[in-house]
Amino acid sequence: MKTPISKTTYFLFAAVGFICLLSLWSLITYQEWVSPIFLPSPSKVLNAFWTLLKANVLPYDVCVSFARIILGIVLSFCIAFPLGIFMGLSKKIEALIEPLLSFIRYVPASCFIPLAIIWFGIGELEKLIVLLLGLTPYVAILIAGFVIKTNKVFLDAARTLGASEKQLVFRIIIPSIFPYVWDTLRICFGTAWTLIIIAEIVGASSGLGQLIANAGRFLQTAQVFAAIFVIGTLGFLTDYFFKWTYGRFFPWMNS
Amino acid sequence: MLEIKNLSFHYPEQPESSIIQNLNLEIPTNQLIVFLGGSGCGKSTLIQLIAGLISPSSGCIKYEGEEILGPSLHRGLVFQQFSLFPWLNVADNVTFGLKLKKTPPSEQEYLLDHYLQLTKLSPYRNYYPRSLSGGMQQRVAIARTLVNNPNLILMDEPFGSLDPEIREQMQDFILQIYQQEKKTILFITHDVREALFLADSIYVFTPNPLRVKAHYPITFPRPRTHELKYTDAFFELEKQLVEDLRT
Repeated sequence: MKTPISKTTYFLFAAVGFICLLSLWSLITYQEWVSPIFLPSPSKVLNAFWTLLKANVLPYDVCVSFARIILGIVLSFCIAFPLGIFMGLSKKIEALIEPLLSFIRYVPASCFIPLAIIWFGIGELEKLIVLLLGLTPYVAILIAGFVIKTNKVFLDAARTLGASEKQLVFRIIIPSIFPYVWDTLRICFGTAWTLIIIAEIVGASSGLGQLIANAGRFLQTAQVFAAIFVIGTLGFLTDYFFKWTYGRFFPWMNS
Repeated sequence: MLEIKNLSFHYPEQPESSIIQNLNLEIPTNQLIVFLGGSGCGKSTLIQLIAGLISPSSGCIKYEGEEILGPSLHRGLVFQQFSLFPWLNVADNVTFGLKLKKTPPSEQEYLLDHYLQLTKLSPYRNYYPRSLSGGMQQRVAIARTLVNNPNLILMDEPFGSLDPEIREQMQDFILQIYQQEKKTILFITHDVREALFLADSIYVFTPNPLRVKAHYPITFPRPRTHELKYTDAFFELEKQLVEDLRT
């Protein structure tokens, strides 16, 4: 069993991890043990970051990628949430949809990129389709699982208090699965970043993936690192946002 | 009057092993009836049938002359497990049934105040269930049932998971509710002393399939205090009931 630690200790240990990595990186690059084409020094990466920021390249590409992710996730959830609820409620609907979604889920979404380009060209629709194919099956199956696992005592209690089948869905099932759905949303952001970066690397005129692909093509390794750190930082901040809001939206959940 | 006629129940996947077979019972109103039996004898199944949460395999159950075909607000159920909705605070849990039937807000507030006072939970109305002790959670569950004004209150070992001391307090609380609300209470327990302390009448059940082994009218005067548990008459009946459960 893990022994609990204070938030400060947790933060200190996390900082030590980052400092160790930074020290090792500095040692390797400032001692010039490795060519800067393969691994640029922290100061060169910082410099590249500053140049991209000043030229407004980085903020623009971050916004483009982030907007694509948000749109993809929102649409995926709009489709997956009702699908998952119906699959969880009806065995027939589950039989109709679940095997199909499982099939799509086991195909890596990146496989659909060439197909999406053939069908829709290199554009926003192609990236949206890749995100939808990558996220919707996964989210729908998870939501169906949450519905199936709704505590039977809550359902029975609501029935004895006069709840109709419709009220059971809206007053019991949906409120009880919300925290798990919120957590799924958090995990989806990680998957969405992976998908959008791959889609942008394969073909895009904007976005962080395209920035990485172009920088790589011209051996601008420092720019590649700068973009990678920005993605990592955005992922970290998104994760933190979801964890922070979780405690505020669902104060009734056991910590 | 609750009438159980030729009631049998088995799970569809196990037709050969009946949990209840040809059970016949007549339960009068405005009494505190205890169903006493060992764990796994089928008492909870019987109470779920009475609540309308499951359907009989054959036979029927009638309440006030009408066959029970599903759950109803006339028959409230307090569960063995903690059954409060964790996403709702105490006030919203208690008024859950009232909101479903669209009771006017002013009436909801009046009933909420009344039952929170009765259950001594007024200071906790904004608390979430996770912040309450087991005993308090069961008091909220009882308030949530009472607020809908059921004629028959079914209690499925509601104190099974509570400490002995809290359990005694809850027994006093049930007797207080019984005196004040004048409802029919059907209380399930496997605790002989709890049964004797609460009941107007005790049905002793034996398992495989569930059947009535004995019926005891309990004539201890009310109001009852825990001193009753140390009287000769109480010990004598306790001995008899334990013997019934054993054989």
